[in-house]
Amino acid sequence: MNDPSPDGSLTWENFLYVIDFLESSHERHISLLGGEPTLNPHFVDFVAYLIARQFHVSVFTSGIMSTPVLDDAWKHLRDVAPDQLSFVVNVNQPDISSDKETERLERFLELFGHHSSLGYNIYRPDFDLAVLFDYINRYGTRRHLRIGLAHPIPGEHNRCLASHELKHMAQRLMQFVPNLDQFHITIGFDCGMPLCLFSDEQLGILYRISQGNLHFNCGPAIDIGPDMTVWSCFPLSGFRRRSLYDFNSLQDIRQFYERLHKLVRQESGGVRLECDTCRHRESGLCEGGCIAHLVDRFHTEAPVRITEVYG
Amino acid sequence: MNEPIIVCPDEPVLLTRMRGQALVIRTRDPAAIASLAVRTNGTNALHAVWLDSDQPLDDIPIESRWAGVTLVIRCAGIASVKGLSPRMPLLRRLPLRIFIPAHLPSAFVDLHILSSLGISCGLIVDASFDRWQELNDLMHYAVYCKAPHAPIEPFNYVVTHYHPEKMTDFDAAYFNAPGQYLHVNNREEIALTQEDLQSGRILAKGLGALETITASPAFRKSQYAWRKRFLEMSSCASCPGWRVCLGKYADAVPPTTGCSEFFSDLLDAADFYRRKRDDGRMDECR
Repeated sequence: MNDPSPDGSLTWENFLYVIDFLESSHERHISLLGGEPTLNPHFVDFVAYLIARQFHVSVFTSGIMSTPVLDDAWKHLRDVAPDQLSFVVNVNQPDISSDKETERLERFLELFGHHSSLGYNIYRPDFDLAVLFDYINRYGTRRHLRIGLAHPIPGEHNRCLASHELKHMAQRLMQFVPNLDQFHITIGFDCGMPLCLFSDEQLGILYRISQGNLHFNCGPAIDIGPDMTVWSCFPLSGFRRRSLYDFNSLQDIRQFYERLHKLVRQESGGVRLECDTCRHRESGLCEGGCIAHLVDRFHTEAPVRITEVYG
Repeated sequence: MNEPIIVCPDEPVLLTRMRGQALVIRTRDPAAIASLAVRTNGTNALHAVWLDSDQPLDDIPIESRWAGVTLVIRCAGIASVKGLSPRMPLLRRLPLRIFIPAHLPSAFVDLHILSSLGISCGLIVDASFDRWQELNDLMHYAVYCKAPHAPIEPFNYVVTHYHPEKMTDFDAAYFNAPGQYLHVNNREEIALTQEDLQSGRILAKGLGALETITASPAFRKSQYAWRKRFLEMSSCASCPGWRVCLGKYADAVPPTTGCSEFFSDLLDAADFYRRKRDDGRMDECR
């Protein structure tokens, strides 16, 4: 492994290796995630470099950053076309954000609203999207919401939705459809959303407000860490990590983790027992929710499954 | 032997006296670059202009008027990518090469960045150099990486000029190869390299000596100076990397280690490149 910088952030050396690796794999899009990517001391330089190298860059951020970082980003990135640089701003519920955080987020949206779309990670069933509608209307962000579910991280006790809360979450989500219609806002689901949470009628509505871009899948996203380890996706960040140097291309990494996903799904179909025999899963319409639920469950059982499915 | 190209400072009187010569002109003034092409037009073949700067690339004013001049810029790194970004299209368009001294901590990252952005560049290595592992990493990137990138010197010179049965002197990438280049200062002193000129190892004085200097005993002796390593039976004489190193680091103070492994790897890289070229598979070497 290559060491990250002393503060754990991605170094230029590792960053350059990753970008060469992606380009050699014919991948022209990169998402910068964290933690919070804007905390990296080279953040603006990294993005400027990627733009100069003609990558398409998505930055997943809280939008909460210090004034010097925001000013620096504005100075150097404001003229980049929104189709080459976009921010996905993960907005928290106002009740868990301090006034200072809200102030900084709003300052970010004031400047980079046209480069941004908003995202919301649902980690409790009683969520509220009102603040997102307000931000979209106030700051002119893209009229699209990325809806993600907080999934369990196997072996840890992070805040997430339990599988029995998913149905309630789905009903709550449907209550916002009138607002989505009213403000002409489309939505898209992150991976791990099970199809069976919704009735056929609701699926029809979702099809419309997602403009037909409706997925119920779960697959390797491929994350690369500052220490040059790779893993399947955020919830599986502790599951079967490998060194980036073990692979020749992004396709190799994908194949490696797709095989692992397949093995896990062979052991258990999905987040609900019914997933094992579900016709939608068999037909490929739905993959049975986030695989992290299954891996997490395996940790609580007797170790009777094939060894590869344990982290 | 072809007539050597003269490397000289931007000194009007000297330039006037060197009419008809092929020149590499050294300057510290970016504002003089565009006018050099005009001033030498019709009188000299301007091979290149070498700009010496103590500033990072970010702070050097780059002009589109330099388009007609082959330019080498020796600068103190690049400082920041974000600062360079607005000028990146111009930097890519100009026929230039950025040289960065190896003693700068950021030199290797800076060169990787420039190369990956399509800008030709090179490392200036002095006799006290000892960052062999980093040099090896950069060489592997320069020769083997499949992502498109611009040439990095001296690796590019070695792999493109390498012949398995001859010696390859990469000093030519820095206009320092005896026989190809001669260096002249304001006092019309002539030396084989810029370093020789600065340290007073003068071959001859007066521009009149240029015509005959390649036939002089001093010049011929310098051409075969490498034989000394074999007569002394130094470790260079049995080093596998000799053919592309030519004992350049034999007199390093303190003595360097790691050069042998690096130059052996460079030789392998040159062989790899030659095989790909001979097989018509250059798409595997970007």
